[in-house]
Amino acid sequence: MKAFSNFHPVVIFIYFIAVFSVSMFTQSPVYLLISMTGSFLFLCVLNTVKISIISFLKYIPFSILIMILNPLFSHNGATPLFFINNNAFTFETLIYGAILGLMILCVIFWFKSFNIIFNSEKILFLFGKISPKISLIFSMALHFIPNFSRYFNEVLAIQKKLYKKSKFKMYISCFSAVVTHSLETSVDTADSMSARGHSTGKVTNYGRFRFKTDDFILLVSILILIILTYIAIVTGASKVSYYPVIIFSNLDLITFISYLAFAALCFLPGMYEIKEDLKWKYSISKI
Amino acid sequence: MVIPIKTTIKRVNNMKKQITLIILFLYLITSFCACSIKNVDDYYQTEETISTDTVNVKVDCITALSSLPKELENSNYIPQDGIIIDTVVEYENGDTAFTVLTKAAKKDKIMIDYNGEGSSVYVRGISYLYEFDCGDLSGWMVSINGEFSDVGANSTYIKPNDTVEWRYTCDLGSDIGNAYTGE
Amino acid sequence: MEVFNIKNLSFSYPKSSKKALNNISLTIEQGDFVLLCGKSGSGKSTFLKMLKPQLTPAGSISGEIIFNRKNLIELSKKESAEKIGFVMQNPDSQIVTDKVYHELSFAMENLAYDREKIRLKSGEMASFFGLSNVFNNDTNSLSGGQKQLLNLASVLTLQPEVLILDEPTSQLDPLSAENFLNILKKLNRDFGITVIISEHNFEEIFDFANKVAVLDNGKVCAYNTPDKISVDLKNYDENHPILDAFPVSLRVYNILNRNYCNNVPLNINQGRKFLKETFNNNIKKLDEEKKITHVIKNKNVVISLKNIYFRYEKNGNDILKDFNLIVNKGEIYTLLGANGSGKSTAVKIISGILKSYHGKIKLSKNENIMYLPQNPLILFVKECVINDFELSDNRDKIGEISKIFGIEHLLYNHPYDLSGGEIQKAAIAKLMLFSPSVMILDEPTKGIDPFAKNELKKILKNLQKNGVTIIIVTHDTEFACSVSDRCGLLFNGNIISENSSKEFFGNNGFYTTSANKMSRGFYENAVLIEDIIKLCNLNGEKNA
Repeated sequence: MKAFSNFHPVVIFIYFIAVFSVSMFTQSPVYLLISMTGSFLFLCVLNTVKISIISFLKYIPFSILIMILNPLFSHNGATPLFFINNNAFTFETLIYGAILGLMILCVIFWFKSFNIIFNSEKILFLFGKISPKISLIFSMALHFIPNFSRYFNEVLAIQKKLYKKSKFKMYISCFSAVVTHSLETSVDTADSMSARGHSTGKVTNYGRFRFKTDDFILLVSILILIILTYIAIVTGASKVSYYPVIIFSNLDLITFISYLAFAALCFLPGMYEIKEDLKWKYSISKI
Repeated sequence: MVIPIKTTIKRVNNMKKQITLIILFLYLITSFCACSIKNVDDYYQTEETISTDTVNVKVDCITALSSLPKELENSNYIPQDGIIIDTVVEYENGDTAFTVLTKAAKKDKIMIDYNGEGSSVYVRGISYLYEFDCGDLSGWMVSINGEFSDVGANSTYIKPNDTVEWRYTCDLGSDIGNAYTGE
Repeated sequence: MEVFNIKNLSFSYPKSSKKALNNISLTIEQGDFVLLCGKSGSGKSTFLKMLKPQLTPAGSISGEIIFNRKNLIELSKKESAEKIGFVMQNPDSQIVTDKVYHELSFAMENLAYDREKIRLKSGEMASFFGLSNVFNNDTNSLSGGQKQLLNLASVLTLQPEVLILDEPTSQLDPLSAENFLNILKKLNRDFGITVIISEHNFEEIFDFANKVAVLDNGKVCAYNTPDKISVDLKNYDENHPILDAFPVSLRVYNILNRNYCNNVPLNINQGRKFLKETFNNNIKKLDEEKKITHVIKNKNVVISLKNIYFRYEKNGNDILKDFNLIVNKGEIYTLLGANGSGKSTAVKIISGILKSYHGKIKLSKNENIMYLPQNPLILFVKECVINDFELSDNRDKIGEISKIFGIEHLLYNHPYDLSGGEIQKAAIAKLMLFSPSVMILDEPTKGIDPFAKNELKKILKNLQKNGVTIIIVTHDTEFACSVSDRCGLLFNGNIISENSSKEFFGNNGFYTTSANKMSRGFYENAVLIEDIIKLCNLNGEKNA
């Protein structure tokens, strides 16, 4: 499982940027539906189908809320359905709201997969490429925050029994005590860092990732697909305008290729996971 | 009988929650009732009044004709000459630049889009031509008998026989004779 | 070859007239394993930090430290980072990053090693230290013992010539501590790494060390091989407190005061040989034993737990299974057991912090239970000790209680400025202000030195006299044996053996005190060093 996460972080990051950008900046239902299906498939492969469906259903009311709220704030559109307080509630704004809801759903879903695939190690590696210092601070924060909250809860559990004054005051003193404790231990941490040669000069950033041929192939295919997708978006061939009336552009060749390319891009990780999965099952059956 | 303090606290908390829920529900109901919902035909139906005074209402977007957004080009919404409304409506006591615009728009079945209520009404679009459609400095302005007002459209009271002109600017008013002085 | 040659080293902290280190001169040879002893506050940590330039505290230094024929000050930052490794006391606070592999590569990243070398070294260290299966895990998910191993491993990735360790096992349970020290021994024996270590618990490494240095008020008062150190120390001060911290066998030897020059017993096996060869061993038992094993007559049950079941997660394993416990009024009861046997969980249930999902807990009326957590610092949330004391109901008792505990001079200090033993005392004092009738202590001896342990013992006995029932959870068999009336051994979620402490440790084969291990077969139920000495004196020497 999660064969996709074995690719180089830079490639994976570029992939997600590509998908995110198209999902967020086009308002075409075609792209969004493709993106939605792709992200759902990917999530199904990463989690189980059941979990994915449950999380899908969880966000549906949210999208519907956006769909209904949009016409209340915007009154554009040539087809008023009715008037609320002399403001038009139009068909176009309703559709536009639905598109916005779909877009947010897409972004949430891609982000869920992103969270699973892109663990802290990959984030650190990416940051480390830019600046080793930021990467270290990030890593220290990931170590520090759980420690801090665990210690805070420990102190709270004990003090709840002993502290007789107001609850609010108790929280304040507990918090300040935990901060003091953190400062005290950070002196040790600083010592331990300098004992191991921190800030002695040049620094390397060690990541356990190598750029393999597979990564190169994936990177090139992502770039080709995203360029093909963007041709139609940039030239406006696939543009959908919602106001005053909804107008779909004609389905010409460029648009069609763009749809196909984007579909390929969105289904790529899901299909890849399924392929690897089958390969694994096949190799087991051979044993 | 002694009721343990903890459970009583729990009960009180539950009651609090229920009360807030009921209040929220009542608020939603009343605000919904306060809304007037009309279907399209009702909205455009003009009401008969006995007043004999009139006001001239003109709406034009001549400045925007050269740079109309794609969706509005060659559409029925913006006439070739850029004059969207040129009509006469009946005057009522307390009419403002905004109220006569709504009357004229209803009469001619022209769409308008505005934000806010009372003195803070702001007209964003007329006949699908919105502010910012022709650049960052574009939008709707109103003048009464050629004089641009400094206050909001719904605070600009008018007299019978006034001419209310809603004009679209692409340059903060300087192209329609109301240069922005920054004061 | 000399690794360290320290000449007339003195040091004092800024604004302090007292010398933290006073005219220290000693040499450490390559491959030495040096054990540094001393009471807390004797300058051990300061001394060790002087040997690592990056950690040298601010203050005025005189004298010089020669490292590999070069003055330590002249060493470049990179060289000193690479050649001198330093491991500190607290396993948690030394860890910098969030993942184990990242922590391992941290030191090498700092010194700009190339990627292939980092990959190789971190893999190598992980396998050597048994950290391979947690290599990808979060550092927060490791146990204390694993964390300390990780700290050591990370330091060793740079292949230092010298390892300096400042009480590295004081926060670990005995099993992890032993594992850690064994790895240190291996590093010294197989790789020739010079080790300088300060420790409270000498039992494990005393015989392995080839030099022992005793620090007293910033001065080295004795520096010799382990078998001769007692003589040197006795010459310096006949009743030096460190003598009581030495391994049991050596203490028996010292107290009996036989001056056989050779064959000084340094570990339990040597101690057994010493007992066997030197004494007649006809008397097996102390007569007075029956008097000592008094059981409290008025069995007034304070706490009774019946069929307790507990688990942390819904689908997890039961931590406590059919756990039963009865504690009588005014006794000191000690729960022992390995890591993860549920000791701490059990006392948390008694003190009401956790709730069992099945079983009955009966407390007699008006019992006020106070719980002292493993880390006593979390009892303190104010800027100075007295402010914390004032949070209690009995303000008028502050003066009296702090007098009893001997902490009057500490009342206006910040809790973090107190030593391990002092904070322990202050924490118990704070709980006493709530006038408890039952006091529960979770690992009270963790991280405190033997002298503080003795004081703690006295305090607990004193509390007992005042009618406080005490329940202790500990790994420390010596402490448990000397302080408690009854002991119970927790295994797999319930108590599998329970008895008066003498019988308890006398019957246990492995889970027992060093004194019992040493005297087994010769004497019965000699669980304390005092018992052995009495029996030895009764039996008399073979040759005499």
